[in-house]
Amino acid sequence: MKNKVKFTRMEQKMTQEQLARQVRVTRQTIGLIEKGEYNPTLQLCVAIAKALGKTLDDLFWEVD
Amino acid sequence: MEKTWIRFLLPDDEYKRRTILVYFAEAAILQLIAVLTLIVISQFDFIPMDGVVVLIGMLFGTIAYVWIRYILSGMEFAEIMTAKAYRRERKLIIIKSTSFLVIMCASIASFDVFGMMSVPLIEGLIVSFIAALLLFLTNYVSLKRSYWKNRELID
Repeated sequence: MKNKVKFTRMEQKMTQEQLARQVRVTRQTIGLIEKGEYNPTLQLCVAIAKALGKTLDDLFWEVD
Repeated sequence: MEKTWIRFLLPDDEYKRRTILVYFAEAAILQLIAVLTLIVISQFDFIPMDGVVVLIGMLFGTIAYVWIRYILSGMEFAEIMTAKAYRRERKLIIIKSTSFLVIMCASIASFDVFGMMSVPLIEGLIVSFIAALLLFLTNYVSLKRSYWKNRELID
């Protein structure tokens, strides 16, 4: 699943490690989500959106 | 977190937890196929089967399947992203395996001295060596796979 997690995280000058710690997953999980190789649960999507101060639409909604 | 009674076997990390659940499910399906196959085979007399041996084989087969899938998945060492961290972890694995070998050999040797061993000393030492080698190899392969996987994910 394409998403804007990496773009938003880098925009906020946050490292993968910091985001991983905030949402209580491993850095590998964050890396996989950013690459679109793992589809997180809604619960984790919400946690990531909150940690980055964005909405689910901002991060995970695909616009053509 | 999934509502399941096997929660105590699952890690906190969501990706790891869901992937391991998939491995458990695959192992369960394979075990079901193995049971059905064995039921069919048992109808014919040309293959003698010892019930206990079959059960032990299925037990180890199931554990080995989940274990091998986990090692090859590269998710055990989820935080090893850099060459420096990889080298440090490799060193730790060598120390852990060597310590295990030394402790096992010392325990077996002391059991032998006090006459508590029912098997020859050399057999005990060979088993210790194989166990330590297996410990090293599984950890090393898992570390290597994790490092390769993580290298692709680093920002």
